[in-house]
Amino acid sequence: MTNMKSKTIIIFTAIAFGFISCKKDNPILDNPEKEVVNISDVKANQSFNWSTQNNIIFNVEGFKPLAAEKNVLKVTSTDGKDVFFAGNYSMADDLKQDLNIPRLNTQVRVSFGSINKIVPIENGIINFSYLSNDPQ
Amino acid sequence: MLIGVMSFVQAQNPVILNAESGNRNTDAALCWVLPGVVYNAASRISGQHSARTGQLTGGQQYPNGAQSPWIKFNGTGNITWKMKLDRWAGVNYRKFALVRVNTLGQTDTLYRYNFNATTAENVVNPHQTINFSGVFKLQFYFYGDGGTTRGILDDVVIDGEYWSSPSRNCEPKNEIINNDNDADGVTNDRDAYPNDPSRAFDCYYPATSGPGTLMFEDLWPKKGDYDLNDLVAEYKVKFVYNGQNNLVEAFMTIVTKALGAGNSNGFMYQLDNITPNKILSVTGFKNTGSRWVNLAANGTEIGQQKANILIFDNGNAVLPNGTSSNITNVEPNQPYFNPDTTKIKITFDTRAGNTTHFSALNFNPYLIANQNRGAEVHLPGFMPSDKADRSLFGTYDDDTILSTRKYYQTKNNLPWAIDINRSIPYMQEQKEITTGYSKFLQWAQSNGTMFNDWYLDNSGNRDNSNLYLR
Repeated sequence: MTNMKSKTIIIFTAIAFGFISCKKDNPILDNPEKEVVNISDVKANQSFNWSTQNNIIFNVEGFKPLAAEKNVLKVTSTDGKDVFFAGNYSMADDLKQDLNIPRLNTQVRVSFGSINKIVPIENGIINFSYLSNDPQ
Repeated sequence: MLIGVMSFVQAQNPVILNAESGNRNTDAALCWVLPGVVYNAASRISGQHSARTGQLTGGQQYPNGAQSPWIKFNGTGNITWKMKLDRWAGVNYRKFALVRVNTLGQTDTLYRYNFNATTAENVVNPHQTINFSGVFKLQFYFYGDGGTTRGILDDVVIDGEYWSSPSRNCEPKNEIINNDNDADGVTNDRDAYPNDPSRAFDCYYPATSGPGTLMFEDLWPKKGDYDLNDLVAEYKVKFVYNGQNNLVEAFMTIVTKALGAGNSNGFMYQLDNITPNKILSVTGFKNTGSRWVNLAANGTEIGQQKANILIFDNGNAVLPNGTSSNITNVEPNQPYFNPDTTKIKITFDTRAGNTTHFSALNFNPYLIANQNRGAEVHLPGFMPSDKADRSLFGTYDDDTILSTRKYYQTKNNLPWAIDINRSIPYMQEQKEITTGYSKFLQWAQSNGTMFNDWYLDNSGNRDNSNLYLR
């Protein structure tokens, strides 16, 4: 029984290493000379963001014909519960604004009154246009 | 052809539809409704594009064309447009109607036209005199049956004032125009203070739903034990701003939960983008009179170019434990003391010329170690205040390099403090954070490519035996 268990462990370990060894982009495993067991062993990248939030750029392309149209421009979580940004703006305003968004959020909801879109966060940027994305 | 620039005055008077953007979504954003229509160059009437309907069939049940936004008419001027069919093949009939729609949804037809086989591809230039007043939509609709022939519409010019509100479901403006009690430019339905012209919005940091957690080590510039509990405080800020997006007030709620330090530490915030003169007053801080505290009449710290706000000067005074030890709420076998709540109110100057846009508000919290004013401990990457002792940078384990804006990190780029955007349990005394948060190491070592959810209570993330849980 013990012998069987040992074999199982060996096979399991071999499979595990087999999978892991293919994963070239794992920085922990790419640095095998030192096992990381406590925080003193960690060498983080200087640019590493220790926060649970990311600094995101919110870009708005204003819609020039509608300078008179004002409303609340809002960036929220997709469920609308957490508001990351809200201000009174004209629909014609271009905007470039730094926002702090939780890292786990990969998309946000951008609204301007009844205009409402889910927008992805891509490369640290939220690009929002008032125009619909409907196909032509 | 109407020149392209005219499409940029559509929201004014006259109201125009010329398809020259080549993107029907542009006009849809202006509240035009375009059933069955695409913008393209095929069979165009003028310019680069015309509005082309789908294949017309099913009669009046299925009109194709363009419905205008709400327009306010004053009984003068004209409605003009150009139209034709792309061809005449297998057609039973093709018709056009210009229909007026009032705000009750009632319709009446202003103009009718029957296309015929002989002239179907010739451009027609109708002209309708405006002899009515009020708010209406206009429908430029083609319909027909048989064959695949499409309608082409272009160069619509309507003498009237654009009267739709795209951000209010394209409703007519007169439905909302007088709906702003305090006349601050924010309508009642969007205004958190509809009867107060000095306030319009509330916003919360880090989140509407709950507080964030700050956890500090206090031995800087030496590394500590990385239990990150020398000061543990939850924070939530409500900031209020007006219809011009300028800050009015900020209400900071700081809940001091634990002091896992032998030192008596202070706690402050720097508002990195705000100068002290932009603040009228700061109230609610807890000051026991420590020598290093030196505040101006408005409550900000004297001698700073950026606004620095005292939360408390001595954590042991705000969270006393009645013993000679400064260690509070980090040892499970010791008595628990209720956290202290400090409520700070910052009032901003809203007078013209000295206002602060709400987006300038960012928070740079820091610990004052052991009553030494110059020994500031900030979050990694956050700048020191003017009162930080520069001679400490680069000593012991600190690798702060001011010229490259590397602040408060070791040579291995480890921090002395972290900021979590929600409430989480903190570590027991002398238990390294990695023993309570099992994925913290991999998260850091992978530079955030793995386990970004390390702080959440997900399976495998936490070892509660090392966390201080109440």
